[in-house]
Amino acid sequence: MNFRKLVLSGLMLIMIAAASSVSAQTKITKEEWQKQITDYTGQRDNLKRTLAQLSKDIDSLKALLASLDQKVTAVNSETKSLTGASDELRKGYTAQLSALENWVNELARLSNQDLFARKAEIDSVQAKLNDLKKSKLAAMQENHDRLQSLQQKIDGLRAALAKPEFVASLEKTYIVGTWKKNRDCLWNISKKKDIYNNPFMWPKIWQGNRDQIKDPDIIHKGQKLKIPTAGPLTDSEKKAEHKYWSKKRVGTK
Amino acid sequence: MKRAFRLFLGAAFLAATFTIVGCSSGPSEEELAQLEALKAEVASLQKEVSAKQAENAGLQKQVADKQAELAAAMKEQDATRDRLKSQQ
Repeated sequence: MNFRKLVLSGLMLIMIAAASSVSAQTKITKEEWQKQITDYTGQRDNLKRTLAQLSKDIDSLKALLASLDQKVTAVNSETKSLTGASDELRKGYTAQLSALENWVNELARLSNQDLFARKAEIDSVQAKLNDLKKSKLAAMQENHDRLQSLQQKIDGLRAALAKPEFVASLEKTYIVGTWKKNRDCLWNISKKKDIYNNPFMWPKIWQGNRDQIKDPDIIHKGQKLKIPTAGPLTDSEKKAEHKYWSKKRVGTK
Repeated sequence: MKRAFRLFLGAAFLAATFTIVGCSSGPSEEELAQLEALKAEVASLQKEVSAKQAENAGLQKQVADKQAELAAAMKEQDATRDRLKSQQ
């Protein structure tokens, strides 16, 4: 009985060993190995060919890039030499251009009141720009672009000054107080520092408000008077003043 | 007992046959190592090819950009010449 058990156990062990040996060998057969070797060898050879071709292409591209780089440098230096200007002259021109740009930008940032007060500068800026345009260096692309942009800005400033709403925005207003408290009459209003600082400018206020002031001696509390832009009396304002005084003289006689 | 002994012998014979047949149809350790080395070489080459392809694409883009830069520079030169002529 014991011997039989021993034989059966041995039998089972042998069977297990044989099965495991067979299963270990079934992972890959010789034919499969051969096929894989052939496949991978083919892949390796293809990859090596591709790699060689890519290296060749890369070398050609690098050479092409270097040649293009040289051409760009040559064309750029040829363009620079067209004006015949030295580096120093070029730098000076660029500095002048930058200064002019700063000036124009400063004018563009001003309030309407300040721009109106400095409107003569627009002509000065234009004159400077015209000078710069005459230089050979103005033909260079970069300078040409900057000059064009400056011209556009100057034109923009001129157009802004000409707009009716700009002129309207310059007009100050004044609310009339009482004679008793404020001593408000056209003469005194004109005399105020923040109006004209000059009483003789009163006809300007009168003429600027003809719609609500018929007689310059009569203004009412709460009236909102437009204060025209400061400046010498115009011909029509002088004429109106003269007429007023004449009428006054006739009245007193 | 005799029967069991015969059974044991039969099984042993069968196992030996399996082992011999199994061993003789598979590749040797050396051959398996050769296959593994080949696989590793292919993987490494694939990596190299990918890197070169990327480098190639990058260079092609750089060349295209440089060609555009050259065309722009030549155009700028022509425009400068024209402006200088019109100044005279």
